[in-house]
Amino acid sequence: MKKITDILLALTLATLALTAISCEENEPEITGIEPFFRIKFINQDSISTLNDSIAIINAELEAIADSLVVIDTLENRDEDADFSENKEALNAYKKLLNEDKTELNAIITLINSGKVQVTSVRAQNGIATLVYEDSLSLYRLPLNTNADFSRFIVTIDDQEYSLDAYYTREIREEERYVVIKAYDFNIPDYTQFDSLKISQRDSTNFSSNEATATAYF
Amino acid sequence: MKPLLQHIFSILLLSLLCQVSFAQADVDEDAGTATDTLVIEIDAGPSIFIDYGKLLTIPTDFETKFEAGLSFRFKNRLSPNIQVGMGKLEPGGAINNGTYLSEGWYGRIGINYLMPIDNKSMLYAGAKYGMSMFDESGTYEIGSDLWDNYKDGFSYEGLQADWFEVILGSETKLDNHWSIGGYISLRILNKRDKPSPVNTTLTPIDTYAIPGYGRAFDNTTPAVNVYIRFSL
Repeated sequence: MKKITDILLALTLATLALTAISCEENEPEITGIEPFFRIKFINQDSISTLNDSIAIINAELEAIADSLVVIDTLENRDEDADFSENKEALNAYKKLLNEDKTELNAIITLINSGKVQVTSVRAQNGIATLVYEDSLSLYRLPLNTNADFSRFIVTIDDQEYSLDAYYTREIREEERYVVIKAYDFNIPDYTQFDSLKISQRDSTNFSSNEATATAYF
Repeated sequence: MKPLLQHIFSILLLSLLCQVSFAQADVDEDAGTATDTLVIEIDAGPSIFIDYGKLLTIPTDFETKFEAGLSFRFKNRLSPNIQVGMGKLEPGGAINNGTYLSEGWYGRIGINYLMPIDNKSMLYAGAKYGMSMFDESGTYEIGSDLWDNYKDGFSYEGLQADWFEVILGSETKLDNHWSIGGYISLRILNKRDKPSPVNTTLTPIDTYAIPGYGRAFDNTTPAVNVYIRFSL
């Protein structure tokens, strides 16, 4: 009798364990596995404007330097001549120009880092619009897994730009996830952007996940 | 999931060990009462058995199994046996972003060598050859914040696998006809088909579970079976 009782107890425990497993929720994890690419936006127009301003400052600095040379020459010719006030004024202006130049260079460095406030990214024929509240250096854009083409409408400072990405999809299993990879990735069309280049670590399959695009506007 | 499966494995192993300990206790009792040398006899003849551990999977939603067999015992302690089973496996971890089903029939043929402890209990060791024919199918979904989700599925039919098993078990009689027992086995995969796409163009997803064998990506896998036997 003891034997049968113990066996029944073991069976009961096993049944409880199996029931506990069957009650576990096992929701599929479907997010974060789509193909994507990264993109950086560089405000090239602003950089050009800033560079023009720096060029003007440099010209001013050269003029100041020339003026100081002239003043030195005049002082050497006439020992009684006093140009100290002029020299002070020129040096003060020179200092101000150098401060402005340093500030403009810092802004150029910041823009070159790609830290841009993108207002939104919308997918043409997609289901949603990504809205950004903070400026980022690098944006991660998911590709359309239902087609070999994705068009993105990017809004920066009320100006709309578009990007057309082309790729070849391949479905495969990776670490017990069925994923889609986008190979032969390219962005041949980029309306309103001045230029665009893609740096690609994967030079064999041109996988989108390994690509970083830089768009200049 | 994995710790819980290990928990079940432990419970079933415990059940097997209990039976061995019962058998040993019976031997001790017999030793205390018997005054003469015990004469051990093998009950020769056919018997049928059913794996009640597999029946426990029926109420679960991740697998359904059934397994029964036929064996014959000879006086020379050899016991050829044959088993047939079906498995419908839906392990949650097979496809993390979808569902998976492996379903099919399998059979095992083997021979055991019986080592009676007394006229009521015995240990045995043996070897088996197993073969499974099964189909696999599944669905998957890839979500997106910007685009419609991608949903598709796959189906592979007519897959086969075969393997060898070495087993060690124990059994004890409940009465003249009924016995209860269990065995642990080590399954060694011999060969299995690689899936090829049937209704989709995706790169074939490798087999995850083989009915009668277990997880396909393990070339060796341990198992525990518990059964109740009816001897004719």
